[in-house]
Amino acid sequence: MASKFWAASSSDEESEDVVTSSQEDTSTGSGSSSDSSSGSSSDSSRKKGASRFLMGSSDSESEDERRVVRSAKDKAQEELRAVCNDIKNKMHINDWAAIQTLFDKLNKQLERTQKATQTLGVPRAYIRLLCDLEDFLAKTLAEKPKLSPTNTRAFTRMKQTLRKHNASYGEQIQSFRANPIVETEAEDSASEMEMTVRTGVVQRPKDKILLMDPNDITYEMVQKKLQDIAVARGKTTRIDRQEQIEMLTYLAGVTRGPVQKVEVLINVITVTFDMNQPTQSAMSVPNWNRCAQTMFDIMVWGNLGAFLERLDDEWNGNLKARHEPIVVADILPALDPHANEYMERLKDEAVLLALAQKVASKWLAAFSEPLRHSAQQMLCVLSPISTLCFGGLQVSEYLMARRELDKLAAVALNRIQHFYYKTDVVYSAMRNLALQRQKDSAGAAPAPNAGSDGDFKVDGEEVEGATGLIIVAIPSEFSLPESCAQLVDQLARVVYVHGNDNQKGQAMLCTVYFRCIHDDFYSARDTLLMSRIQEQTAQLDAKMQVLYNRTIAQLGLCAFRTGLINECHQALMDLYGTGRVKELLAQARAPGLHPPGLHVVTYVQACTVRHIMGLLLLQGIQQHRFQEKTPEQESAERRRQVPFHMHINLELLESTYLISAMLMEVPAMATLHPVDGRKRVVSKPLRRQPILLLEHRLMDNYDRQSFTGPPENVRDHVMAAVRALATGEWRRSYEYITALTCWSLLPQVATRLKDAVLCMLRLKLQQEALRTYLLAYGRFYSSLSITQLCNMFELPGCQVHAIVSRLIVDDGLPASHDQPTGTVVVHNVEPTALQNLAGTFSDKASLLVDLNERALALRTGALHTDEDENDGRRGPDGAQASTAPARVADALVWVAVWGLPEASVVEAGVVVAVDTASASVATASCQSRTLQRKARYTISEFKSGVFGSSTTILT
Amino acid sequence: MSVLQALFTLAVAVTHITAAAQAAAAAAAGMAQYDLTSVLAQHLDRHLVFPLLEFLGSKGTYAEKDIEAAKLALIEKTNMVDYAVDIYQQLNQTDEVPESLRQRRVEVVARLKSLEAAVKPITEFLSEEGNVKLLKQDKAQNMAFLQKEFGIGPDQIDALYHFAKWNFECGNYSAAAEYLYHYRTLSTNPERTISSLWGKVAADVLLQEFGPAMDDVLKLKELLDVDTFAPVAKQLQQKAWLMHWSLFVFFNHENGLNALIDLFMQDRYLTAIQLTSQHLLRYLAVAVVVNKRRRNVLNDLKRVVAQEAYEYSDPVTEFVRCLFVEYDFEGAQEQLAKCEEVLDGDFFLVAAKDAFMEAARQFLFENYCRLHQAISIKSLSEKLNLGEEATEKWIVNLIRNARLNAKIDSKAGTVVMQTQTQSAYEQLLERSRGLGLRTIDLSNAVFGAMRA
Repeated sequence: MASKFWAASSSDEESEDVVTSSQEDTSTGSGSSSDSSSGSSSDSSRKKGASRFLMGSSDSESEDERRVVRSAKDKAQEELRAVCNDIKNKMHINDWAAIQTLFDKLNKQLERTQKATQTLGVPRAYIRLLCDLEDFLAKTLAEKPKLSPTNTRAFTRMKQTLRKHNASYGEQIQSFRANPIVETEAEDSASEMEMTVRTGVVQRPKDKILLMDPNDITYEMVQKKLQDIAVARGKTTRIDRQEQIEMLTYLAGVTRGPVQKVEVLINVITVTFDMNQPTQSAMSVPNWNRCAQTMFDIMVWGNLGAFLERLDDEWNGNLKARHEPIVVADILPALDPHANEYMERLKDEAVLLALAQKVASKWLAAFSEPLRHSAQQMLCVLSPISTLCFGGLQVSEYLMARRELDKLAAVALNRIQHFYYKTDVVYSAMRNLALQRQKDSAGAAPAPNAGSDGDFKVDGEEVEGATGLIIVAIPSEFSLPESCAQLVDQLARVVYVHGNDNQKGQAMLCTVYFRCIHDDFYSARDTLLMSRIQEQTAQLDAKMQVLYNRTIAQLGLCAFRTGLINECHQALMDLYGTGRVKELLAQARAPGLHPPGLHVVTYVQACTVRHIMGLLLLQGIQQHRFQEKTPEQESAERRRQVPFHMHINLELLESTYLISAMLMEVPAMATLHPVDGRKRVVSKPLRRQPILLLEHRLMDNYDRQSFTGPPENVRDHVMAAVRALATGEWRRSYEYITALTCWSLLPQVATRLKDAVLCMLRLKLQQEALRTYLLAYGRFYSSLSITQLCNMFELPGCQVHAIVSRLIVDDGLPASHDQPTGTVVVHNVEPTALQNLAGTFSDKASLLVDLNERALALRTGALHTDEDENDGRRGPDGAQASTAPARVADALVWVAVWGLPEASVVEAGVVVAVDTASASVATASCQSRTLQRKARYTISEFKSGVFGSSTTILT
Repeated sequence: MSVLQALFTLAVAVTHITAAAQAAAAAAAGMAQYDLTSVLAQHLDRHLVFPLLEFLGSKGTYAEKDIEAAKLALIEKTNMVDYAVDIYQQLNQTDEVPESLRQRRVEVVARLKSLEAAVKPITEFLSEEGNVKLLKQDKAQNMAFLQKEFGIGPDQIDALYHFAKWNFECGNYSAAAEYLYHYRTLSTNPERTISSLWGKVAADVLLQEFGPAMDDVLKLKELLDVDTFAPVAKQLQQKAWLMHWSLFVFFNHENGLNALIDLFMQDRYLTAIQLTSQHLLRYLAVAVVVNKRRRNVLNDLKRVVAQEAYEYSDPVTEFVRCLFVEYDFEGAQEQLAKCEEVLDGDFFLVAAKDAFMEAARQFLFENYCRLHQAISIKSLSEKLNLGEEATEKWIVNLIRNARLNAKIDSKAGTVVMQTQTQSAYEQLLERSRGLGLRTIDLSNAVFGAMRA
């Protein structure tokens, strides 16, 4: 409990004003507290210890306000005291059960009181009660009175609770015991509440070192001071870090020799880092700037890699959420991405990059120097600083430099992560900005760099909320190459050579992402598939999973721009299958009760090495739905969020996905739902059709509406386009699609790209409309003129010919060309009712045999092979559907369509599991019981059209 | 990759040289655009590249001088020093012998001396007719036997390997093949056995003995397939090598095309093609098109060709893609015209050119007919690149051979297909075909299982 108070108020800048006011209150209200304001030179607000936590509101407040606050406080006090009295009464009758409940109530009350009074102290009454309870407990223990069983249980529990509880109030209890009477009197007399304070009321005297003449300060003195600070570090959260930093910055100015100076500066960084908890809040901007500047100053020693990483994290954290309220549990409003502040912060990226580059080159230098002339290096001492760095470089130092090389990978990765999401336009903008800033700081360089402590003097102002006063200079040696691709490539190489597996994976994903946004689909996809990272998505950590999902999304977008509709659909299918795109991409957090299981979209390679991009939904970190999130989960989730400037535009992503689905589904739908409402008998119904039931469901919803207004959102637009396309009206469909606003968001803003994409879409729409038209209405014609089709769909004759040919061969359109007349002749004979029935019967029969074979195969362990072999590679257009969902769908469709007994469903379910997950037969039969249950579940789901979740059967 | 392996495989340097030479020439000759020699050479042994260069020289695709330079670069590292000198002199129009080659000659001869000495016991042993028969199946026993009777130990056997290698490098392929054969019976070192098998294949190919070469290729394949624990990169590389080397065999052996389809269409090898050597698709496509009996692999070919279109395409693969994937008959037509040239310039395919052209034309026609109910002979003759008379004859032949269910309507000048739409009755039969058989199989299996 205690720690919670402290966490809440620990050294946040926001709490400073509270300190200020309460301190003044103390000096007037209770004389016991200090004379602190006297000696302090820089600012009086830096009061230490007790004063800040003393209860009471500021004197500066008006009388009215005080009264209001008082009454609330008094009320809380009253209640607290009432509970205390209750407990005392119960003590008289030895009712331990009641005492226990009351004690819990009391603690809650205490909390409330503290909230009401805005203090962290504990009322005397409470302490006294604790003492009484303790005494009474000891007495009861000694006397051993007869107690009822419930009472005995409550007594033992109370004993334990109290022992634990009192330990945290040991100090106050002691002081109370030492002087009980005075306290009692004080309490009785004073209407105003008095609080004992947990911490000792010791005001540290002003350090005399600050008052000394800088010339008199010796090496030893500084060293001692430094040691004090180091000792204080991490030990307690009470020390005011702000004060420490001031001390340190002062020390930096008066150090003796560069070694000590560096030491001091490093301490400045570590202390600044301690000022906030990264899990809870991000570092404030001035602090961040200070750290960056200090790092530029040292650059020789210490764990630069770690410092850098932390700075980077803080920078990101800062972008994600800046104005955090102190209450951690609340949902934090992110920094408004359109605000000026956000932009300002983004500009600091250059600083970070400069820093990273410097660190990297430092290490590289350290690595190659000893190789070249280790001996000379030792002899020719260049400057004090480089003495420190290279002076002792011997063999062992060389080894150390080697170790640094591993960290080099980390830094390189860090740098990649600043580049990989940048398109050329963004990159060049950033580059210009950085160069500009570099030029500026080159002009102003001598002043801030000469006396580094000059910068720190500014710190005092940050209390007043002035941000960004320290402008970190970018050193002149910082450079960004013209081409980002080259840079990313270079850095990735470094990671591949020196990094560990995780780093390599991240670098790889980043390169893939980078290539995607640069429209290099094939190399991106091949890199991704060859890395085989999709096979181990379950083992990846959350950060990687998010990156992976982002990469897949980007791959889909890239495929779309390139005109590869099928690939696009496959990539995005999983993302949208879950319906939780935002969480998958870490671009928004799930609202309260629905924590996202962090799925990983898997991009599985089926039978051959690449290209068959079947998808299977795996679950990475699965949490239960409808479960309250713990604060840890909450903050973990917050840390996963991607800052706004790296977001993938969801509107664009959704349109892309829906349009690709549309282009694939609509012709398929035309074969399945003939316009005249009669089900056509297709020999192997629905088999291996890439049915997107989501689309169907959407369609159904859309159809059910009695009135459809003009389209508003993306989904409406696409649905309208689907409707138009389903009747072959590609022009209307195209109009709906072009009406989408998100096309202007295509990553490269150039209009040329937009035109190209729309052009591609137009062509695709024409083609698919033709296919749909022929499939849906072909049967009503005995012949169609090719020229007429050309006119209708504005396609050249040879293309129409090719499309019709493909329909004839692949989709079984019963037609043929008549070359001399230039027509398509349709040979369609509608089967009679009897023929239909016979067809149905024969299908059922063959299905029965199929299932029997599978059942037997399951039993004997030998699967019916030729069918399975064929599955993997069907259709030249890569419409392979050997993926799990499709198979489940198959099995279920058989069932749904043919109404087979449930027993065979189970078999089918099991077989599906065997086929796809290639689990051994033995395990499959073990699982048959659970599958049985699941299969039943899935059927109902399937019938209701919920396809997305039916995939879970396999996971 | 072990040093041993490298013995019988190519030093990559040569490809750079040939590539450079070709790049210079490519600008001049349009035909070079589809020439694969430089790509193939990366996966071949030096000696195997030689016939390719000879072929190129005879075709005149590249400048004579470039070819000679490439040859020289090729031989320089082998032991065929005298030949290298010849080429050098021819190339530079001089009589002098470069110092490096002279030195090389000395080295080679010295190496021969030392190897001959080391290998002497074995060669003597092997030269006795009856001796080889003394050897048994068990290699360990043989070793002991040789050690005891003839003083032949592991060192000598090793020397035999190096001697074979030396012979190979000298262009003395028959000797190399023989020694390697014996080495394989004696050696117990598995890695070297594989190496020697590579050597044997190369020697056989260069000796034009394709029967034994075919056997060795299959043996080699088995050995490689067993070696699944090698690093993936190595496995891939070896598969790529095997496929390239086997081209020599497959396109010269009578049953080669079948074997080629068998090998290339195996999943692992198809993978290797897709990952490392997409250009092999040309050979696969030709083999599939020519080999009429293997229509069932056509689907696989279609898929792979379509998938790899972005990595590799030439007229042959484009033809396949246009015809089977896009159904773009005119495009296929154009590509087919180019194919003739490409096949003409390809060392391996030149012999299969006529068969391919004929088969491809037939494919084209068949597919075209399948989609049409009437075609005018005139347009057909254009498509087939034949005169009208010839076209008519060609069609009559097809009809006579019962490959085509059609009639010629000479009044209208069309070919009329007898459309083969299935009646509902036929469809039903088609669907339920095999059900009976499958059920019988099933019941047999069930009762068989019960009995057992």
